[in-house]
Amino acid sequence: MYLSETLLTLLVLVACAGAALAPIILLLLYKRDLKDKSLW
Amino acid sequence: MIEAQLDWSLALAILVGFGVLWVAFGWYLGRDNRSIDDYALAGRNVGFAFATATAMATWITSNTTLVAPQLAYQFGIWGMIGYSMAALGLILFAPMAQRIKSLMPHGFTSGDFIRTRYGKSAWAMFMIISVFYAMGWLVSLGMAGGILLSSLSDLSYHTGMSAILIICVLYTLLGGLKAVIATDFVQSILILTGVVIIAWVCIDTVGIGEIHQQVSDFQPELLNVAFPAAIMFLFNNIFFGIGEIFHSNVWWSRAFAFKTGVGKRAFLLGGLLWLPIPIVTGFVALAALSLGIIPPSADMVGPLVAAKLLGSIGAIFVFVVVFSALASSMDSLLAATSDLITQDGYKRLINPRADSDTLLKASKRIVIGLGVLTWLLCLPKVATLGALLNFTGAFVASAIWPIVFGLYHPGLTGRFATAAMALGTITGLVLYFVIGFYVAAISACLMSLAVCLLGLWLAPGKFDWQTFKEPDNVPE
Repeated sequence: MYLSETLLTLLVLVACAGAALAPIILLLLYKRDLKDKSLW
Repeated sequence: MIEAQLDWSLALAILVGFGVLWVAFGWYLGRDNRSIDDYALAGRNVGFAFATATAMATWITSNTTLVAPQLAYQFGIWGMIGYSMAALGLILFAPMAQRIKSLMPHGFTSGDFIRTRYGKSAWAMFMIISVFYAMGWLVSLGMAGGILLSSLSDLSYHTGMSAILIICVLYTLLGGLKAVIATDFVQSILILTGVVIIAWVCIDTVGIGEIHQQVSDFQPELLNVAFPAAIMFLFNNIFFGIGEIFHSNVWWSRAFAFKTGVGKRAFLLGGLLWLPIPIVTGFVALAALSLGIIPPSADMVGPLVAAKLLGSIGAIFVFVVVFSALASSMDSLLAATSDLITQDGYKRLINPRADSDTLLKASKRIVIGLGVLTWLLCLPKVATLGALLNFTGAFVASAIWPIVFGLYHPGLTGRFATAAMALGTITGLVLYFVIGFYVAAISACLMSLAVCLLGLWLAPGKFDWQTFKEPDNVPE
């Protein structure tokens, strides 16, 4: 059984979306911790 | 010279620029370190943002950015998905981090736990596994630094290897775990941004449809979801990753350092954020066929595709991403291994009455010593040492069950925990040589589990969890 183009596209786009969201999530968490003075 | 290479002066400028930046940052963050708690565990109060970033960035090594594309190029779909399954180690460690912090709120190392829970013989066996793995990982990172930076630029192997070691040793020495965690945060943003830009340009320029068509026509096996060798790799990689994280003081020191209530959430989110990265870096390698790239060695496929897509800017991106990936793991390993040797070696065996100041000085000397030892071991550039980490799979996977039972089940005794680690390691090593690297971790883990279950059935103990809170087991 071979992976279809549709499934490959879905896998790659979901992974890229996840990787692109990661720095945004980290920066938002940083902003929240900075505001709460709970970085360290 | 291949087209992915940077001119030596530009590569040196990037290295010096990053070096000065990280070392100054380390000094700035370390200026308030007063005690061994501040230096080795960042004051035990790390917040959610930094905790998540350091869990993720430390697990992004040079392998994630270069071996994941290589595996996709060689094993196809299962290569990149198999590599991404290493995220399970972080995700499964999440509840354990919470348990560790609640059992040992004043603990320092994974060695502390094993000695208190199982006694001296298990502790000795565990220390052999831990130190062997830590040195194997350090040497493989140092060598990877030399090999990769010399492949990506005109710099020599020894310049690249020495530069990354000196930079990491200096800022770890000046700032301790606080500097390591803060630089991890910046490095994780750099790595993720670089990887996403390269993948986006790849999709935009080549297209997923075109890549699928080319792979289907010329290497259809890469899209085969029943590729036996790749499936075997996937399972071995899962157990190897879990063994690495469950036993290593790199992760235990973070469980101790994170603020109460943060560890579980941080490791869970860190694992989920890490999961897509090998798939993204792996997918980029599948574009090699469409771009007509035939790499001189399989591990250069990622940088070559990036350079082809982005020209010289791509080479800079790859250089910065690889440098950040190497540094984010090497600094953590230096800090955690120095912590382990300070607490379990120096304090436990040489100077039991050492106060915080003495331990702080010893810890800094050990960071320098580890840096020098790693540099000496990396000097010969023995390429086969790169396979050293696969060899350690048998060692680390044998520690999985003794640690899990040790944390959650009062029945497993020290005698059987020691036997599980020893017999698991021996089984893994024998099968490593008889069958291959891809069964070492699985077989070690299964043998270790069998011995643990036998111990629980034949001679169950009754460990009292309050032992961790007794004055003898709580550092001053």
